[in-house]
Amino acid sequence: MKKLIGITVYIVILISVFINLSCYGSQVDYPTPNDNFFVNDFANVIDTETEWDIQNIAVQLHEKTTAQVVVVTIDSLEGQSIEEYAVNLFRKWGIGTAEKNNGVLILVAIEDRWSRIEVGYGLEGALTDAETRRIQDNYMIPSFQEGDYSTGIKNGFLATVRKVYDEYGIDIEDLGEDFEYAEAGYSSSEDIKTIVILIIVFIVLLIDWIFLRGRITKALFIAFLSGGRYGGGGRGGGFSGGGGRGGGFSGGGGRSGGGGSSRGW
Amino acid sequence: MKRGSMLVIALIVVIVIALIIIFSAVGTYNSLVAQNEEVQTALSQIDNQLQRRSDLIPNLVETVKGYAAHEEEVFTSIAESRAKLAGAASIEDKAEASSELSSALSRLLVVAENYPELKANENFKDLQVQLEGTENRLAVARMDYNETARKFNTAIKRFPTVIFAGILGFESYDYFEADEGAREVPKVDFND
Repeated sequence: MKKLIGITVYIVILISVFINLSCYGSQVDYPTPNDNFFVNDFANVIDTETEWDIQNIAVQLHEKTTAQVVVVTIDSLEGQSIEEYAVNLFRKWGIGTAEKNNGVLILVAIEDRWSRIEVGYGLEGALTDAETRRIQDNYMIPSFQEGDYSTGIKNGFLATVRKVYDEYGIDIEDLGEDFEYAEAGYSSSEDIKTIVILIIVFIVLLIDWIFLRGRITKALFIAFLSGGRYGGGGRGGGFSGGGGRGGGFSGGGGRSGGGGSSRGW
Repeated sequence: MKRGSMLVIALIVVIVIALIIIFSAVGTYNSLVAQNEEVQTALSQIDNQLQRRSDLIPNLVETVKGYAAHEEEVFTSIAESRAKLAGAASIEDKAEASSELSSALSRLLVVAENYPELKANENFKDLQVQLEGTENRLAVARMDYNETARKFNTAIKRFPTVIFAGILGFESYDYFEADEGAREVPKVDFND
């Protein structure tokens, strides 16, 4: 009987120790990335167009070099230093590949008025601390001081991407317009395409109705109906909308070790 | 015949138990070696960053001297703690000397605050950012080291590993602990 009690006590102690251990950890809840991964505007300060541009350029960079440059805006650091926050977020998301650690995190904390470029181990040569300071001082902070986060973030992001391309020996000139208007992966850009097509169709219809009294429309309508009748009703659906793709992007397990710099404004 | 088969069974049981012990000992040994290696790697990261910081200092001090030559007290304390760090061998000594150097350097940056021309100097800005970066890397390396050391220390104290660990000559590591205040290099806002 005594033995049984002893064993029970032992098990209870073991379990409580285990529970204590599993509760141990950092107090801050770091956000999880959205499906687009490369732009996470948690503080809602970047306009949509800039977000698309950043996403497209980041996807293209990722496909060409495997490097990942991620932009994150947050309201508050929740009492942590921006350095601590950045390194923990970087490692949690695993920015860059695990083999090359070729990730960069551009973190902007709006209420704390701090910005930081955190550089993965593998890119510390391309983006030295001094380089990240210059990027922030020249491209980001001046815009932030005027409250224009979109411009500051985009310019800082572009300067960073340029440095990463340099590291991989890719000349941005070779990328041409792709650098600005790379079309990849961003689900909302599919939506935009749909909207643009709809607008064009609407304009064509309008012109048709005004100048041709809708002859083209009628012809198309008849063709569509007859096609449906004789073709066995294939087609169906119509617009499948964007949204497809699925999955989205995620980190590759890259790590950083505190490289980069922080600036206030 | 009956006694013979009993003996065989007993022998098999003994062999199986012996094998289990040997295998678990080998497994334990291998995992301890791997963990030990991790701690060593983390420790060398700390040394790298300490070295990197020491290398930065002459440049930084020279630049500041160009504007504030008479702030000798700060320069002396930096030189002293740098020498002390170079001579430190044990983890504990290193941690102590490192945090002394950190606070001497942060005093240097406070002094720099009084010299607007120095603050505006691009070279100084770069050096300062490099120093901050190194301090920050050091903080991360320290955190990583302490984490791996803690895992290792816990592993060798856990039963039944504790039995082998002593025999195989594994000892627990000291933690690299700096004063909490030393972590933060005061940041200078150039925009005011």
